[in-house]
Amino acid sequence: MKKIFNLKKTSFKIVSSCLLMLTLIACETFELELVDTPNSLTSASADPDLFLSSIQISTGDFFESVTEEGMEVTRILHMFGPLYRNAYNSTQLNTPWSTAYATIFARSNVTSSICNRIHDSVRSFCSCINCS
Amino acid sequence: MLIFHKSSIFVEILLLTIFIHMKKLLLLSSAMMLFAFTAMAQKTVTGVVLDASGVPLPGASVVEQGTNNGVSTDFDGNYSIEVSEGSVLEISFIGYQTFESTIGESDSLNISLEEDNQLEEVVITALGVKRESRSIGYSVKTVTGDNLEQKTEGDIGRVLQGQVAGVNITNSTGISGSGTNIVIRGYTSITGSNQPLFIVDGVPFDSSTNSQEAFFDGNTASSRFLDLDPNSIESINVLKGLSATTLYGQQGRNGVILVTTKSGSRKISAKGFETTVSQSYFQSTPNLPDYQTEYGGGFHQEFGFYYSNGGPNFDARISQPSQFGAFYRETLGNTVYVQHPISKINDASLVSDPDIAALASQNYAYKNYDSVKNFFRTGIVHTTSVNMKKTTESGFMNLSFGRTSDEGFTPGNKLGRTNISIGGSEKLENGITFGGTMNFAQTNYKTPPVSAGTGSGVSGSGASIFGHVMFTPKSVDLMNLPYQTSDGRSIYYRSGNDIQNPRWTVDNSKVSQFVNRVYGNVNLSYEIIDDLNVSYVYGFDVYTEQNTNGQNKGGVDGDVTGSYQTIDVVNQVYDHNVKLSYSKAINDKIGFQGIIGATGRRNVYSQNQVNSTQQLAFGVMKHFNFVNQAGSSFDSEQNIYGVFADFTFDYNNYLFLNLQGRNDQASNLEKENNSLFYPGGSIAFVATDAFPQIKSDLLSYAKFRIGYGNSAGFGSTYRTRSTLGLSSRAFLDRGGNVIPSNFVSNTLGNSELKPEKVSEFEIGLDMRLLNNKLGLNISLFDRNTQNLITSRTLPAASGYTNMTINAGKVSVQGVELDFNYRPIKTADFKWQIDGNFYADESLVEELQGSTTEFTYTSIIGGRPQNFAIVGQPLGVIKSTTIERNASGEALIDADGFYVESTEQSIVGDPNPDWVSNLSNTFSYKDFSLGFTLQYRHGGDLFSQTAATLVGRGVLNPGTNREGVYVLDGVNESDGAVNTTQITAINYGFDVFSFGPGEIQIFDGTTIRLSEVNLNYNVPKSFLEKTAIGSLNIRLTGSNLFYRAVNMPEVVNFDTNMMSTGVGNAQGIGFITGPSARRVGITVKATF
Repeated sequence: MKKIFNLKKTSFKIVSSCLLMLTLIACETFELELVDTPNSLTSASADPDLFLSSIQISTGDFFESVTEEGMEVTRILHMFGPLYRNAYNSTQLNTPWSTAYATIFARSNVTSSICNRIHDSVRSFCSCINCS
Repeated sequence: MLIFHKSSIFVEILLLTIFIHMKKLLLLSSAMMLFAFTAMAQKTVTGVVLDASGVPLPGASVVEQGTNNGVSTDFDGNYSIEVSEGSVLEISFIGYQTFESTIGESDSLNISLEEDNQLEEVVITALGVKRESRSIGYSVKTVTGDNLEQKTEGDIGRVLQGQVAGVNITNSTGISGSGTNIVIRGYTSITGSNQPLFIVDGVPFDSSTNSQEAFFDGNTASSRFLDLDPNSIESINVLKGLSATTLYGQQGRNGVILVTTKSGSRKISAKGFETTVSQSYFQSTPNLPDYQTEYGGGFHQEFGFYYSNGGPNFDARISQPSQFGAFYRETLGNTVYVQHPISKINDASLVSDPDIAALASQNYAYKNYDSVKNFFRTGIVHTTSVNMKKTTESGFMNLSFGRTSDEGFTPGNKLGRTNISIGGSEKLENGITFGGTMNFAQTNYKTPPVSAGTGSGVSGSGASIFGHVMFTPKSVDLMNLPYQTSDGRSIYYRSGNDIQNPRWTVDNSKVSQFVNRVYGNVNLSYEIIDDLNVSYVYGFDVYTEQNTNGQNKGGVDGDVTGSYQTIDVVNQVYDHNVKLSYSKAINDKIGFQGIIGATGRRNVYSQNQVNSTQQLAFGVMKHFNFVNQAGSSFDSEQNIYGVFADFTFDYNNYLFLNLQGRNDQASNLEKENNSLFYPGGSIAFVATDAFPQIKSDLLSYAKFRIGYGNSAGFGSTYRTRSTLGLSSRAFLDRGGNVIPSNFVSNTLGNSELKPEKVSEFEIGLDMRLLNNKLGLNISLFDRNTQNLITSRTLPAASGYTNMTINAGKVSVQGVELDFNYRPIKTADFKWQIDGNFYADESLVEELQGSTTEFTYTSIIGGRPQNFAIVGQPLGVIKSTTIERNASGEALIDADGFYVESTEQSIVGDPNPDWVSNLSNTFSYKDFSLGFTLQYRHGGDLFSQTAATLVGRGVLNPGTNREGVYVLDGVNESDGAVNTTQITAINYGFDVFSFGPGEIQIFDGTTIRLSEVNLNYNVPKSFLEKTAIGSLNIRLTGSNLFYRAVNMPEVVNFDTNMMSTGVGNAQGIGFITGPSARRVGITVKATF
């Protein structure tokens, strides 16, 4: 019986110490700050050239998205309605509005950091759009 | 990943240590056993254990007192045990008083057990802790294997349908393998997940539905609990309230489904070794609308190859040749022949194949082809399952195998699944128990795509197998018209070829998911001293899910150049759980049980996607065969670390106080907000034990319970920081150069984001009445969520369009009732009634700031949407309505139609008022007959199916299609009573089908015969000379009849289908196709 007791005691020590270590390791190594997404770039990788491309492309989109309505109301294009009263709903210009403000003029820490790094030739353009 | 590597080394060391000691231990224990054998005279005692009325009790335990020597009774209550003379046999069975008898000279001992009034049922609660049901202060519902096995559905979610009060389960479509939506105690999160946590054998099991497409682009993804084989499940415990799930932390906030598999269950089988084999064969058929048979395609009784079915009567004695106009060819008998649709096809290149061109000159019979019925097939389901289990006094070993093959009634739909599982556990004499399970599942699922059908084509970027089939005009011969040209293009009856032929879709458009999954656990526990136990469980669940979605070139819907998308998903869940449990009787009256522990869970999800378009060689679905490719990937990683404690005190075994708490830290929020403590507690009071004088023949048992619990939702990953947008192919310039771009992401990160909080208060009463014949469990709960994680729109002028915020409060109050009643119980005949009732009411109490409403479901072609509106139940449906004047009269326009409102208003509440299930089982000798009825009261739904099918004239809802109608209302212009006539066809098409949204909202009240089964247990006497221990034959029919009483009967619409798939949208139905009715036979044998 004594032997069993000893055995019990030894294995208790082993098991409990292993478990304790396991728990501690789990505590220490469970990384609890996984907040930067691996699915996008961060502002640190912003490239001024690429940024300007997006502003140019979006400006084109914006132009297209307002000129179509412009052509419709002036009856250059067919206006689905066909009355002025029922041709457009209140959300009609949301998309160009959003393109303009959330894409072309989008002002953020990302754009300001770019403005600080941007080369002279486009500095004035940038400052009138993005940097205050 | 490094941490897991490290921890697995420790597991290895641990196992090695145990192994080294095991050798010594084995020697020692065998020596001891030898000693025991030689010391006493052994004899074999046999007998049968019955209840008071003489019914055998299978699985009763027969133990030699003071030893580990014990057996269980077999199916007929028989047992046989070797014991020493003079020892005491203890016979016990759950719900019965324990019987003791000293072994004398007799070798046989038949026992009749008395029912125990104090039901000592043991239930598994959070973290696998077993407790006597009397000591629990919250509601736990157990569903045993008998109610899970041999079912017509291979999806465990669908098997659970209707079995537990408060658990609402809806199918997304009738396609075998499609997703299943499970919501426990109502929707409480607006944009977060409302799906419960699955725990299989003590460790988390990923049950997500990885929808790779928005539902309107092809809603078909399986819910990953589909990988579980219902036949291999021993039991399921559903923890509904938060006081029951606090220990699971934030993951338990929507309830927990605790699954115990046969490989993970210590439950002792009747014999030492038992093999169970079952084989099922089921047929599934679609529940189709009741199509009319008199009229064919056209509009206003004039023939045409239209989408609509408003044409002339099929009977040439009723219809006139003039109704067919230029199409008319001849009349033979009672059938009119018209020009062949092929002759009308505009695109000459479609009809240039000689065999197709030859049809152009043929006459086409204008008759009822019943194409929809012929398009579907009879589905066939085969299920085989084998389970082998060996149990000893100290442990068990289990092996199970399952194979399901389910060919759906929709052509092109097939689900195949193989499950292999092995598990075991052994308790050593030194107090160490070690065990584990290892499961492998392979699921292969294929189906044609199901995009949202709008009644006139599909919305979204994919095709839909049901979108056009369901309202195919009766005169269109779908099954015999050509559907594919020699160069692979889709061809159908329309001159503009603007409907993708459904048979072409079956052959050329396919969505598939192929899953290989390994999951299981290893567990170790050690009894340090008598009442102190330490245990460690490591769980793992890893799967790869290969998704494909492709369509050959030549279609009409989706990308006509051909498209192919592959998405490879790898999902990994690792879970560590260490706990220390201690129980001690402090004195005669007061007892204590305590658990403290820590847990760490890591979830890593990763997907890689390639989209290709512009197929080169027709029919080859490989990326190399496409001109354009674009790749993308998505990764997400989340760690949650929790510490928990749970203390239970009992006084005199009738008053129980439970206190629990857990602190969670999650890696996906900023450090300041990533930790949350939630306390919980409950009290159970067994009144019939505290005051035995209240016990009577009427009342045998009564327990009151009160519980309070908290939980949280940490939301999905990566929403606290702003990101930089990158479009690698933003623009292609004139020279063909690709121009990439950077942009500010439209989503503003919110570093202040906090977890959303849920709390719940629950009271309940458990009673046994009428000499234990009637059991009742009633619970009332009040659940509140606040700081809901919600996406909010920002004014574009801010530079962003949306951000994730904490906003809003939602509350749900509800009542749940489970009951069982045994009105008759004799030796030969038993009648058993089980049922449940559930009602809840949700309320949106507050939204962000001054916001009073927003929608959280996508708008599909202007159809109704679910809204969160302050002061309304969560999910109310808003749509356009009939414009009315101040006195509520409908306004009618100059053409005689309703004026449609420009603004949306609330038109319905999709939450059912209450639901109830009632099942009856009658057993007579070896036969039993059971049936289950389900009733849903209320719950509004938008049904595009009902609107389209009635409106397009393929059904006859009892209107006179040749008559005229005048809508009730007043003229918009002068307010005079409307007198403008419209035709029945206009009424169907312009009002019922495509008029103001409120007309397409129906009340979802439904009565359903959800299951009927007939069982036969082959009598023992027949099997005596065979190796078979028991043989059971069962006939089952599911979803045999239902009726949505407030919808047009002819539509035969199944309200238990949710075309929006798994998510938070409710009651928004596009053309989802029919639901399944299944019938079949199962044979089960044990050896």
